[in-house]
Amino acid sequence: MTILPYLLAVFIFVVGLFGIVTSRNLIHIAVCVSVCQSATYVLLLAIGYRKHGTAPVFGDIPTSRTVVDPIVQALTLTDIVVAVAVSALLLAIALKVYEKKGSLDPRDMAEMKG
Amino acid sequence: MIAMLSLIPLVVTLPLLAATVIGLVGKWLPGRGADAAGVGAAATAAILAVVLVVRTGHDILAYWFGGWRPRADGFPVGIGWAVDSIGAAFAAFVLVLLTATLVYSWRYMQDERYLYVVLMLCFGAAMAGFVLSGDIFNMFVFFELLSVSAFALTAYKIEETGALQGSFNFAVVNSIGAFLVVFGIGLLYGRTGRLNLAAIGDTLTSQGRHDGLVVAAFALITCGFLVKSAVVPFHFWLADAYATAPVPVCALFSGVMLELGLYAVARIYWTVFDGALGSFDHPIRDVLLGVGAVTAIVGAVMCGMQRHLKRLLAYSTIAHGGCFLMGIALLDPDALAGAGVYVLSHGLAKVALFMVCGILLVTIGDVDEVRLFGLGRRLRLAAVAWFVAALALAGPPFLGVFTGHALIEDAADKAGYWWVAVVLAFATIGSTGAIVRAGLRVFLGAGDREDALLSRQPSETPEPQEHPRLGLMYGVTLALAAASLAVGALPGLAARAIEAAHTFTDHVGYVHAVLLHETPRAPAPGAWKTTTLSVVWSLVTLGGTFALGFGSVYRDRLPRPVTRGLGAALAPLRAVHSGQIGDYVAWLVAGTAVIGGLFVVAIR
Amino acid sequence: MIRLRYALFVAGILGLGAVLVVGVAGLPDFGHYAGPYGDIIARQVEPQRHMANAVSATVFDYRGFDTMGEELILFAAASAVALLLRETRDHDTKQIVDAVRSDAVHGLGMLTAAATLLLGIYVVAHGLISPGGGFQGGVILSGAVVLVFLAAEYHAYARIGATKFAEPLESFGAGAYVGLGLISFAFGLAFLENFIDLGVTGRLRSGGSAALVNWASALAVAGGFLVIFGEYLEENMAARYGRRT
Repeated sequence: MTILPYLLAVFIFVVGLFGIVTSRNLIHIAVCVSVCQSATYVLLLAIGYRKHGTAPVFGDIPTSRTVVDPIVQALTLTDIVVAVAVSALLLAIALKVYEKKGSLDPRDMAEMKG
Repeated sequence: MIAMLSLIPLVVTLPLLAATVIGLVGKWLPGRGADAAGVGAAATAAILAVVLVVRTGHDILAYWFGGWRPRADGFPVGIGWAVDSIGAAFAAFVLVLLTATLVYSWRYMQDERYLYVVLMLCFGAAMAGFVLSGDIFNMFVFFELLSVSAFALTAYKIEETGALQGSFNFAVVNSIGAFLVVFGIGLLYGRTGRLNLAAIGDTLTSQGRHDGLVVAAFALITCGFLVKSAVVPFHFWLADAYATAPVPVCALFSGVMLELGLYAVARIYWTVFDGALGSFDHPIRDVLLGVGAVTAIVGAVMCGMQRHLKRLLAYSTIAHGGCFLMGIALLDPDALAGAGVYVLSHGLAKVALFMVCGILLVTIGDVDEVRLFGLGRRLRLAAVAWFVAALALAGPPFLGVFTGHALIEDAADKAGYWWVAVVLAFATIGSTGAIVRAGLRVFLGAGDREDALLSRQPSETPEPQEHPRLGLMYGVTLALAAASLAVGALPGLAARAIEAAHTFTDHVGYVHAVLLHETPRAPAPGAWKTTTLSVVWSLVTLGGTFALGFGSVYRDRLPRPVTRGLGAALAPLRAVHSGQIGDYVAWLVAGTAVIGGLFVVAIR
Repeated sequence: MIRLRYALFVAGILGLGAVLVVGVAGLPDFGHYAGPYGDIIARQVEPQRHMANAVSATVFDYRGFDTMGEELILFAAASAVALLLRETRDHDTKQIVDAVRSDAVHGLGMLTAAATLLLGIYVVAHGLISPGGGFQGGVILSGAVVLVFLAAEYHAYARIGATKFAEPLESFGAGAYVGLGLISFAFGLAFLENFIDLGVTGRLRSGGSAALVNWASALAVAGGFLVIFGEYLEENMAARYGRRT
């Protein structure tokens, strides 16, 4: 009975959220969003793991070998691309804010309120 | 039959192909070429989608990508789409509005126009793919595609700090919402080993367990998608994003993107969880109704304090979003049909209202109610569009949002939730009253110029237009405003929607149609009669809206202590909308904890 | 105000954490993946699709439509970055001064770039028969071009056309993915259904049209990463050498 790897995913997610909530730097926030996203990779890959399983590539191993789940790996690959896209965008916005305000502090960016 | 099935992927892949082709040749393409290609692709897809709606009927059409039909034992090895008439109608609505906004923005954007068209096509096609999909991870993929396009479009006006703030907050909050969805998908996959909605639902039903995992998955997926629908307390990003995005983009956000999150909640509840959690409909209904009601009220109150017109419309969308959620939360086909019809007329009206803002930006160069005071007098057609759309949102008997409201009220009344009608009326009066107030000040110069209750916002630069075609802009705006009013009176729409909603909420029918290719049983012909009570509520709403609107323009004449008291009472609410991403995420976490916690505690 | 935020967060995270823990507690024990989706794919991939790599088979064949969405996400992100950083797009590159580098760095760097390019092509080409595939290989391919910049500075990077070909490459890759789906369509098959001979497992030309899809995604990924890298680079160069002329 072990769910420790799943709990690790929860922990990473919580840490990332903590970083976003307390951050005073837009680039730091973008990195924290990636940390949160990493939690989802850990969760997906952990779910598909099988004891004594090997990679599901049948080049050199018989098809009868115990393998880990290929589906979650495919899902994680897609998830990573999503992370690339979101990070690229957040960093581009941070760059523009810095150009305009000379600061990366989210408090200097907040013009609209109420 | 075969020909019709093959239409299904084209609805989404044609605009996507067009986007990549425009991206490939865009640098050498004159701006007008990009506009024309965008409109052409969107219009073609819209026509295909409309044909699909007509031909779907009561059937649920399963389409298997890569030809991977389910194996003989019903196990789906590939990605399947499952198209029912509500999904097809939603896709058609998205693509029609996409076409309308692209026509409206003909020669409107100045810089890198082809990239604007590319992102709009990706955005629209992804929304259509999202509603047609029958695979939970495929939904997530399209969800991310539409989100990434939406973040970028929000930040189009890079010269404004507000646009950057809006886009950054939007991207962070919505990404966290998406992670919640992935967590939920992971849990469901770990339990069932399936990704197809019908297959997951079927397995959960036969396992018959409603333990922590199932409830947590339901809570996480629901909360994740509700972030997109901006229910309180996940709504903070929306006002920032909508207020700063270019007008055609706001129009699509308001008309369909917010509703998409609610669609996902409904679709996933009925296909995946209805079997396992169906006996706990009572707590689920109570929690979601509560969330919807709070959202409707907060949105309506915030509307009253806005002088930035786009921000005002954004809060109005939040208020209506709460009302849609209440329609879904009743977990009743008739109420769901009501929400669907409501989305249709609200979407058309809201798009028209945003388009009027665009006309104001192009002709006068501002969207601030106080600075525009009386300046809109010469824009008669814009005034007509504004007030016609506002009228549609007020829901006069048999017009505009009336049918949607009436269906939801009847279902709520039947289920013993008399207060739903009160909240609907409050939200409509508060939000639409503010729209009327702003219209009176801007287009008629009525009332006082001073209004201490309004929030000051940084001024917006005029849209980066090149040579906008005002004639086209007026044409599209007026057509949509008229349609929003008329759609309520469309004969047979309510009955058709009720039939479609019965198919939508039939969990077993969906599973069999997708996995076993059985034609779902035809729903009983939809029957619904307008009750006197609905008409009374409608008149109350209509009267209240215009009374509030006319009264509000003079509200500065209230005795000082009253306005000061009101201001003080609303100050905390105003302060909570701080524009700080850290606050927004803290609220998101707390909101998910409350909603998820209530589900976990209540479902045992 | 900030205290209130932290209090709200702490209260919220305890609740959210509890919901997440309740959820994962219901999962099968770690290491006991219960299937069946992955097992079914792992068992039928070789006989049915003539591919050795079950992950690539999932990515490019069984769930190839998801990957099309994924390429479009990258395409949208690249377009988005180009849109956001548009101000610096057509700046004057003549003023850019390359830093002085040793010939050793230059020579070894270019050699490494060539080797990386080769490795990228290898990883893409063998994507269906050994670990790797269009995504992994595409990232390596873009890395080869970035290496040229690192080793030989901006003008060499510009000379190989990296500033010009990235965006068309990205659009072409993503478009080719969608286009391949439509070719299946033209053959009267389902969207993205295999339309060519499956070949022999383990050979380079195996897996049918999934192999073409694999290459399309490699181009899209390489192009996407290069667009994003290139836009940031232009932004940086413009900041250092002045705005557009």
